[in-house]
Amino acid sequence: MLFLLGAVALTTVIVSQILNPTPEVLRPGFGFWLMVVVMASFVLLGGGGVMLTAFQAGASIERRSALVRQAAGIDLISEALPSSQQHPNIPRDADLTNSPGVTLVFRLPTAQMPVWRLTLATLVFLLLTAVTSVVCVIVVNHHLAQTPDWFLTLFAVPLVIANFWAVKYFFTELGVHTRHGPTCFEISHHPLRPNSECEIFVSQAGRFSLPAFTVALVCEEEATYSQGTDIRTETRVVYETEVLRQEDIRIEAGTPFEAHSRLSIPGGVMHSFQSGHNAVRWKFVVRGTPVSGPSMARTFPVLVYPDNQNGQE
Amino acid sequence: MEPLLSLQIDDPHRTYQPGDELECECQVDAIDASDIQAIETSVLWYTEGKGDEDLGVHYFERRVPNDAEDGDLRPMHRFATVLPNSPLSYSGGIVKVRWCARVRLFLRRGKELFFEQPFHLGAVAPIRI
Amino acid sequence: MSHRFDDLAPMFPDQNPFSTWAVRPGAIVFRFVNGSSRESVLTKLEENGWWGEVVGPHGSGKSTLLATLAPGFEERGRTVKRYVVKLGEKQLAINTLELRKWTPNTQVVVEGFEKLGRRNRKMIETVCKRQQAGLLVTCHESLGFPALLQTSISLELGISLVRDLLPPDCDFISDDDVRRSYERHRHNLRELLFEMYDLYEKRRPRDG
Repeated sequence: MLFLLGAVALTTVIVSQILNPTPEVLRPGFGFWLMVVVMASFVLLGGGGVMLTAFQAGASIERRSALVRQAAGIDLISEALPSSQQHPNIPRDADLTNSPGVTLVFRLPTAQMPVWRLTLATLVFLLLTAVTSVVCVIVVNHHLAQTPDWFLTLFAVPLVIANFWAVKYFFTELGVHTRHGPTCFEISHHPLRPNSECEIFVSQAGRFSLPAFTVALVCEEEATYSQGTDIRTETRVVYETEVLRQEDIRIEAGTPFEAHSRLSIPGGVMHSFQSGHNAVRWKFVVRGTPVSGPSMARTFPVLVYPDNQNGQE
Repeated sequence: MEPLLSLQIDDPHRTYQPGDELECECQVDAIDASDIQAIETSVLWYTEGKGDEDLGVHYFERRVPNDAEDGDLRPMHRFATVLPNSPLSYSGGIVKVRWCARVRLFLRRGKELFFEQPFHLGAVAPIRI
Repeated sequence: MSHRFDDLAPMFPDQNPFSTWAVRPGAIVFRFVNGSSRESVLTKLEENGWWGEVVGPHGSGKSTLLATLAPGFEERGRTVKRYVVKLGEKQLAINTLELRKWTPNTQVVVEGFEKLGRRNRKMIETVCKRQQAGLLVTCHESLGFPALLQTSISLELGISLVRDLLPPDCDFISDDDVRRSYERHRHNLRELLFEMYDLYEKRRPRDG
């Protein structure tokens, strides 16, 4: 449809200009050129869709995939693809290396923690507290007025218990998100490669004590199954090594805990990999379990490239 | 009688490194030349495991009778490609990456046959759960 | 990137017989019981004016049954339009142009029909009736369509499937393993097969 609309409109615009030329409309910035650009983009987008549909009908899977790969060879498209042509199916590292470090070369961004639990806890906490407060005020007023409403009093008991649980859960979730200050993670090289060494620097702000503070390099596989009405994603850790461990540390406000470490990436490990339904991901995981309160785990994704002996770089 | 489809990889160990050249020979026999509509040769990887399978084609060539001398696609045909840096062959826990060379024969009346030869790219150690 | 892998054959020594290519609907053929067969089920559907429902719990083989029936529809001159409703979808991703193409020879197949909103279900039924297309749906509870088949899983079925998938000389997964997994994932064949994948991976002999 898009292709047809674009093609018909573009032809109409151009033909009308040829048959009935009005030179002033050809001036830059005028509607004519805008129309041509918009309609041409309709033709290109629609045409692409038509071609894709046509190729998908009655072609082998290799042929379809080869056509997709050929299209990826076009500069504009290849720039927008998640992996480069030199390292197919390895995610690009642009988001990981665009922030320079203070101590080492790159400062890694952290993987976002899901906040939906905190949002839900806040909503439940606010709603339940409001309802419980109103009910409690009414119950107390009845009792003070020597006209106790026992049905309402009995109703208030589970409400107070539920509210107590909601308050506790809300503060636990809040603690998870705010108690531990920001973690800064810097690295001397990126991407990492098997059989190579790299230096890391980690800084943890906040005000708490930790019996153990660790940094681990983790590799996990991820597979998504979407057959029938089922969609399930499974992850499995296939490699984990501790690269830093500090015991009994106390972090004070304004004086973050800082530590350096060197690590070797072993040979023979799989590189980062991403395809439609499968992935191999590498990450640093910073963990800390405080004496009391929720434990901390922060993730810093990294890329591991293949150890190329004679590959094209 | 079924047509004979053969595909051979040059290295008997079938182990390659990124940047190596993979050379293959393919041949079709026991079929009339006029019955062949097209032959596709490809070098590709695919995933296997607990997730849905993904596939990527590294090399692809489709030949129709007009591309061959006398319109006969049956004689031995060689093709070669330089293997890419990634993805490397991998035997993981729930994700595995396989490489293979494949020949697909399209016959008149819509019939299709294929044959493939696996090979190993890179030296990633298998995962032991 | 999404492809069908109808033509991938096992070739590698570390191949797991419970990989998706081997256990997805279509790769496993539905096991008919009580004397029914693909032909008898299709005949029953035809007698119902090509309308019917397949009812059964999660992972009991509904998608596998549809995949097994698929070639039969073509043999009977019906064009299958298959839609899968994923979790959280309330509306079928389908446009009016596509709906208009349904003809009396069209067999509309909707997996997970009960997940759709009431209005969307009604709309699909109305369009199918108006254009005299067939409608076959799968659901967990009956939705009032003519009953075609009730799918269920039994321990015997689980054991027989696992036996068929395992290589002939495999001795490290026993019927007892299947029995224990069946108890854990009651009535869910898919979960049972996922667990068999892990078990096979853990116990299979390593190269060298």
